[in-house]
Amino acid sequence: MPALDRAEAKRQLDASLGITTYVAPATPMKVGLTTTIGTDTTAGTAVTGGSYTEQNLGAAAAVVGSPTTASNAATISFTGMPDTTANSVKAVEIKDNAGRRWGYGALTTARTTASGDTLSFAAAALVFSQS
Amino acid sequence: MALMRTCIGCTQTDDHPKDIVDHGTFMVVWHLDCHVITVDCRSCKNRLADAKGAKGETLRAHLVSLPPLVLDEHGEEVS
Repeated sequence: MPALDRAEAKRQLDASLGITTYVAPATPMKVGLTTTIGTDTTAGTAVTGGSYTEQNLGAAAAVVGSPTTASNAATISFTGMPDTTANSVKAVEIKDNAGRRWGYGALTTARTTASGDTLSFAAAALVFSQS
Repeated sequence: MALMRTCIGCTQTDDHPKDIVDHGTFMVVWHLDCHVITVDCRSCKNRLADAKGAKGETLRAHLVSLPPLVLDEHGEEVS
């Protein structure tokens, strides 16, 4: 996880092949929770209710490897979650601060919250990779 | 039906609000106050700041009444 949005994949390919200049995202990057898993063209269904709101991603610089990976540098906490027993949290959506979609990724295991819960992702729990 | 979970801190099983911490391959569940006491969780501390020791449904009502917050890595509101 995650997979790039198709438009972002084109931006990155065109830039890395010297065709166009990459337009940097508006920071900070945001992470949101969804109750359906998005596709490379369509965002998943965003969590609503409670005092849920998107949080800052706070990614650390990528680490070269096979594959090369990057992850969230610190814990990300979504406080005041709504009751998601009927529609569990299944994925995350990554976008920039202006709403430009970067990508999405399914959680290893769907998470269910009760009203008022906090759903947190420990540092390095969200891993982004490219090979 | 109430969602019963076991706090890893006090080992008590109940339907009180929890901090569900996803570590990627596993998760752990904490009462908010247990998370503060045990590891000084800043987001839980932030959420409980004005809760006046409330538990269970009273705490839940307090938590859902709070405005949406974007928190930094220290559990402080991002301005």
